[in-house]
Amino acid sequence: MKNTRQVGFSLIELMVVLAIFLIVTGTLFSLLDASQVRYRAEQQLLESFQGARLGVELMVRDIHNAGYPPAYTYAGNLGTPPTPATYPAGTWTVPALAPADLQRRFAVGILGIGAAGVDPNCTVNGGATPCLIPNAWDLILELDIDPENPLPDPITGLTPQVEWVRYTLQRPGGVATSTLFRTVGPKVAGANPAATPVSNVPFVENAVQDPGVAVGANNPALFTYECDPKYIFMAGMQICTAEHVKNVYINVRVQSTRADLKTRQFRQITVQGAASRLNPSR
Amino acid sequence: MLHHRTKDGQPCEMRRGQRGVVLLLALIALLLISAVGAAIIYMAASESGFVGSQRLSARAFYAAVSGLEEARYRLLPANQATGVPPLGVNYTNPLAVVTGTGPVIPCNALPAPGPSEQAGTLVPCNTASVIPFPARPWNALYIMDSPAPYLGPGSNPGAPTSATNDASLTNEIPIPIVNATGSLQPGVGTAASIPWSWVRINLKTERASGEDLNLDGTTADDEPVFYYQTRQYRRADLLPLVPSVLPPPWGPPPAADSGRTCVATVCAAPVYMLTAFATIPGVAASGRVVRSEVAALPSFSMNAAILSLPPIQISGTSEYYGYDGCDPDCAGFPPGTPPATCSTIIPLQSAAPAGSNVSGNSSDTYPPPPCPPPGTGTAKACVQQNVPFTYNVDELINTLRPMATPLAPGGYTGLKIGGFPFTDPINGTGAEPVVTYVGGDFKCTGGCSGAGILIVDGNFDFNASMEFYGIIIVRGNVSVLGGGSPTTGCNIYGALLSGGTVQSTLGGSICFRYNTCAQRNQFATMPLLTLSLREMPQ
Repeated sequence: MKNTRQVGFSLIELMVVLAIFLIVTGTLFSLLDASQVRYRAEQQLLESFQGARLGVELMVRDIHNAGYPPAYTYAGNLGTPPTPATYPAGTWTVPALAPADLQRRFAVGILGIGAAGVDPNCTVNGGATPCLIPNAWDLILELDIDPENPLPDPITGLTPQVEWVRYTLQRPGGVATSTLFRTVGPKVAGANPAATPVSNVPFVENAVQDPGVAVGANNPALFTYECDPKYIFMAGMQICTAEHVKNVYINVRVQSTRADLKTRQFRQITVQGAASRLNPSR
Repeated sequence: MLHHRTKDGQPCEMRRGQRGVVLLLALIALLLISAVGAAIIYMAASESGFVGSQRLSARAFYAAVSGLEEARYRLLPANQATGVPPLGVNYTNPLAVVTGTGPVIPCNALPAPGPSEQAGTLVPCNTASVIPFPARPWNALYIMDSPAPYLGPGSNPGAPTSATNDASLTNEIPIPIVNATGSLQPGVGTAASIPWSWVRINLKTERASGEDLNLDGTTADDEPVFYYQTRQYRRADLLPLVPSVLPPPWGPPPAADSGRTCVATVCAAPVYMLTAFATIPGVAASGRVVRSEVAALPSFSMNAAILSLPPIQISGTSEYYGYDGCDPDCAGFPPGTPPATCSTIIPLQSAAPAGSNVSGNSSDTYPPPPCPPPGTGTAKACVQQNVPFTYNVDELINTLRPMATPLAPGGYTGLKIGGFPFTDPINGTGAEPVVTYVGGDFKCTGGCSGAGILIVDGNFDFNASMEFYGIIIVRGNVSVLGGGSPTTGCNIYGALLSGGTVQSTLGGSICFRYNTCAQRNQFATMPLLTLSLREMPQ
């Protein structure tokens, strides 16, 4: 009997044990849960961060190659009759005036877009006729992204074909963050690349900067432009045509998709890059 | 206390089991938390590695770009032995070098290997004195960072699997390897730097570049590509135009006795493709391949001391040494060769029609040889008017501007550019020519001197104490403001080209000494023009 009594537990004992057990495991699991939340938050932040970093990396490479091949790679017309006979007739000295068949073969680098479309004379950073693009949130490059593998362009069916690459930051209504899009399309003489629909494939997500709000300390420009010093209109002022922009500074600020548990704030990371257009200015 | 008193095992087992459950739970929880912690640390580490490899990759990129600079530097005409034209260029007939049976070109076009480079491997350039260079225009030269550690199957992406087999250049023939340890480029080859791994130099062809330059729908040909004016042409497309129908801006064919070079037929320069690879040793996927196309700026020459589109107005005392097709100082090539006999005497050329004439002072002199007696009235026999003005000033300025150092427009006193003054203006000893671009009006009020190519994208006014060695190209008007005297005895050694009028309105004594060497020397020291530069996909 004694032994039998000793073997069992009273209800109180069991309750106490259960309570202790629940407290201990509850604490443990709440710790675990907190660490998992932290893990997810870190992972999301890291994903945003690495997305931004990879985005900057590709932007830098595109800007490096912008303007390849240069306009004057192709000879144009040397004489009358055109020599060689296959060259389009007529001479040209301004890239925008080249025959359409030549225009799709060469790139002018950073493209200036004015009110009426492609405008080789509009300027960045102000001036009398400022470009609509490039601006703080929008940049259009011309380059041949696949010179070694000149597959026919899927749209034009032509080869070789220089591409328009547009980076544009957009924020649809009701969304808290912006998305950077990278849109690639064939260069078509006389067309306006800014009128081409933006790709629906996001390139960098969770960007904090708002293209609908003026540039400021809390809303830093995604792109800032520095002119080739040889082509600055006026000493001391960074005003030049889009074609003569030499350096592009990229500033991408992204945030995590979830607010931090403790601070209730979204964590942000800024990725900065600098890219120099390598091809010589003309 | 209880378990101490218990003898049988049952309660004891139970107690042990309870204790074990708590321990187990604690361990599991600890494990899970540790796993999460470890994952976060792993993420941080991978991010750190990611950033690190990206940084190294960027370093490799700039190392590869420095490889391109090395090759460009080696191709610089001034880095070659005296009298040796650039690789593949024949000064008197540039296009001739690429005819299969054409003239052979000395192959010491590249600088000799450095002391620690692989002496003897510069084959055939340092074992054979000549090489029928153009016979195989797809021939390539490799400059290697060290004894070929980067050659071998799969050793790195984009690298040739052997020095003689590069898939991107079909028909490539065995080529030499130059070890670039002890490079001409400071820093390369030293432990502190990341060297590029290899640089390849080859002539550009449609096949090598993949560009259909003549729009014939195919790139399967090996015609070398030349840089002419500001554009690129296949040699076969350029040849039919030689020599008579060439358009401006490089000027008309010079007289046979001019001794001038390059412009004899067509001033075209071969386009070289430079490809460089660099990688960070031991870091996978850090390799970067960069390619540029370079060409020597086709040398151009002016056939009079002053060339102008509108009339030239001279009202002071002027001296002009040298004439159309006759350089009193430096006519031959290499420099120092005595000038040819002068047969024509035309120091000033203007496209203005005869009759709107050049006014002048009767005391103007044109030595040597003595100028023929002046014509009737105020016209000078030494002035040629109504001649075709074949220089396209706009094109020239556009071509030179990318390589120029900018100088703010305005007035300057005592400005020194390009190593002037020097003791030997005839031969240019001591000059360090530079290309200078002034984006507007430029006024030199006294004591200015310079060497190289001066481009004024506006009007150019200068005091008679100005001294310059080289070429001056002015889009607008040129006028001499006033008196002064140059320390070297003459104002301009070289030539002046004006798209506007040239005036000497205030008198004073000005002196132009036509000098073809002063013109040509600018190109000997001018780096090859980079036509394009891009990164290659891997």
